Amino acid sequence: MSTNPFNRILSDVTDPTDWKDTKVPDLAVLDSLERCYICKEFFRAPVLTSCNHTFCSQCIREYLISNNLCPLCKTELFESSLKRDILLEEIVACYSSIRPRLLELLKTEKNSNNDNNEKKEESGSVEKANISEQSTSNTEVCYSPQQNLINDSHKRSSHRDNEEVIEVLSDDERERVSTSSSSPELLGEPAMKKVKIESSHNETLDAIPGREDLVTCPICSTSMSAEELQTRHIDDCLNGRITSRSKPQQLQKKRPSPRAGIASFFKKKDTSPLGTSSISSVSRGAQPLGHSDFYFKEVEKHVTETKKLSKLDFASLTTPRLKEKLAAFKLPIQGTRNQLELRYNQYYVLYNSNLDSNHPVSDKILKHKLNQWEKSHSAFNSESANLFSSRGTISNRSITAKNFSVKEWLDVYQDEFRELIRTARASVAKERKERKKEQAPREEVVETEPTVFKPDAVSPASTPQEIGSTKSVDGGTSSDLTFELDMGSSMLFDSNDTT
Amino acid sequence: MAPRSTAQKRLLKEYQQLARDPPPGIVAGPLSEDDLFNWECLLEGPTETPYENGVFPASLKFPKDYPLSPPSLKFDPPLLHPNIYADGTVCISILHPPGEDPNQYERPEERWSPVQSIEKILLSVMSMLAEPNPESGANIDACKLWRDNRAEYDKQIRKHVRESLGL
Repeated sequence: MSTNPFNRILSDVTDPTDWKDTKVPDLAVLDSLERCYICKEFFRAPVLTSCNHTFCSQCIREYLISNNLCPLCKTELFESSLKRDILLEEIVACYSSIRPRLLELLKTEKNSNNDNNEKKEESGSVEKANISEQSTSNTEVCYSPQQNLINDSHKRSSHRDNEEVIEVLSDDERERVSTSSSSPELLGEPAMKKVKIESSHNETLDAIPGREDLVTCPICSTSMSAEELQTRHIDDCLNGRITSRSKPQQLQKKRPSPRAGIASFFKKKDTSPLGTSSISSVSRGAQPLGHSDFYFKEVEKHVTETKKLSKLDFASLTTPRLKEKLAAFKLPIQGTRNQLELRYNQYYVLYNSNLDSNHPVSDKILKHKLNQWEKSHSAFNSESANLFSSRGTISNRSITAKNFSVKEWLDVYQDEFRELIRTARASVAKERKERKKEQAPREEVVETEPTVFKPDAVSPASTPQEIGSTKSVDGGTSSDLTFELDMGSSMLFDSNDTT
Repeated sequence: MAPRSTAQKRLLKEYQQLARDPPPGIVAGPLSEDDLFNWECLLEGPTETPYENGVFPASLKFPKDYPLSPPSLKFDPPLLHPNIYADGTVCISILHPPGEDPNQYERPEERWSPVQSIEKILLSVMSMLAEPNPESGANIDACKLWRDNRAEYDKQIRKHVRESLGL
């Protein structure tokens, strides 16, 4: 594993195989069931199709722009029939928020001298061992608690690389131990006290690591504390100021939150019987509701208001009208016609899928997502945004595609076709000259002979014979090359007819 | 680094899954972590076929709108097979986008859909190696050879396998 050169970028990739080496490998099944077939991520705003299949709203809507079949069962599917699945979205959100903790807890330890495991499985014997170990040093506990705590916390956290865990633990313990040492009646049994600390300490360990209160930025999908996200990150991210997502940065981001983690842990234990409510109160901030609260209590939010954007019929829309439409949504209106159409469609998908979410994001974030989509989409690449835009798009289209325009193709490759014709003519002329030298009287035959268009200057594959044979075998996907040659030579012959 | 696109995220996930739980006879991964859209894979020739014992390198190229559009797969060096073009490009229904099919011999459920995966593509290619589909031939010479002179077809492939192994 350590030899994998992709470890750095795979470190934040989660997938069902994460469960393979845990105590409950079958969780991989649950994990994969909660993922969209299209993007393989956990469902975001899941919707149910008329054929009873579930996809992310955004994924299936993007797919349905150019298709009308269910990607899974291929039955006909209309966008209007998609229904949002409120319960599933909350289940997935709940699962994905507890997933890191579950993974941590169920990890099969390779070096099993880890406290966590032993405690869970044979807590009795470990406690005894601790008692004897501690009773030998119990004077130390009383007289120099600080010293002991540092050692202790080092021991305890040796398997964790998270520094703030150490700090927090020692804070926590210091508090408890200082109360114990200040109350004289407890001095007689410091060892027992110590064990108590340890067991509570153990629970704390599971809850602290600042993991369950990490939230995902809706824009860049980086995980961080809710505090960090709200105070700083979201603005930076919207303005595109976040450039790298290196590990140290993420660690730093965790730093401000360990106390919040502890606080939420105790709050959860004391006040709320619902395991996840305090998690989401931390992570969602503005929305202090647990997943179950949302599902059972916020019922008025479950009714879908039908204010979705409508699909545009681009064929009957002039470019100025299309620009007006875009401007009405405060979207950029620069770019080629093709880009304008793609931009509207993508905004339409983002907008409508956002409405399917239980926790919709603001329009500002949608526009940012649109911008990022454009950056990653080939039709908006810098090289295709200039003079070669039409070329960039047409060469990406399959020649078997419905919207393939022969005329556009001819326009784009006109120069190359001309060049082919020119070289062909030149070689014909040359050949003719040579033949003239050899057999002057047979000039006319050369002119009418079709094989004169088989000169070496033109690519040998473009001979009429070979075009015929490639055509006959290339089935659904003739390669672009074949087509280009085909077009080129047909044009060559056409122009020959006219001259 | 800009946030990853849907395509990049999905490619990473598929890679992780393939790396952790590789199907037998298949190795695949991106050429570099900067460009997740170009993959290289190695396919083992299926047993009890003339391709047996061969290890065939191929390149997978993904479009920017993957998984909405399918990738393309090309054997490099090209492989003699009725469904592989002379330049090595594989012609197989799972790599064809849905939509109209000029020849009407591929059912839509065999075509590409975003629910397919790299693993499924490579497994389909393995079974294509074992069982060529002469109805939708890509390499007419290989088709003829396979149909009319199986012994010679097998011989040529075994020779290619030996040569590719440097024997």
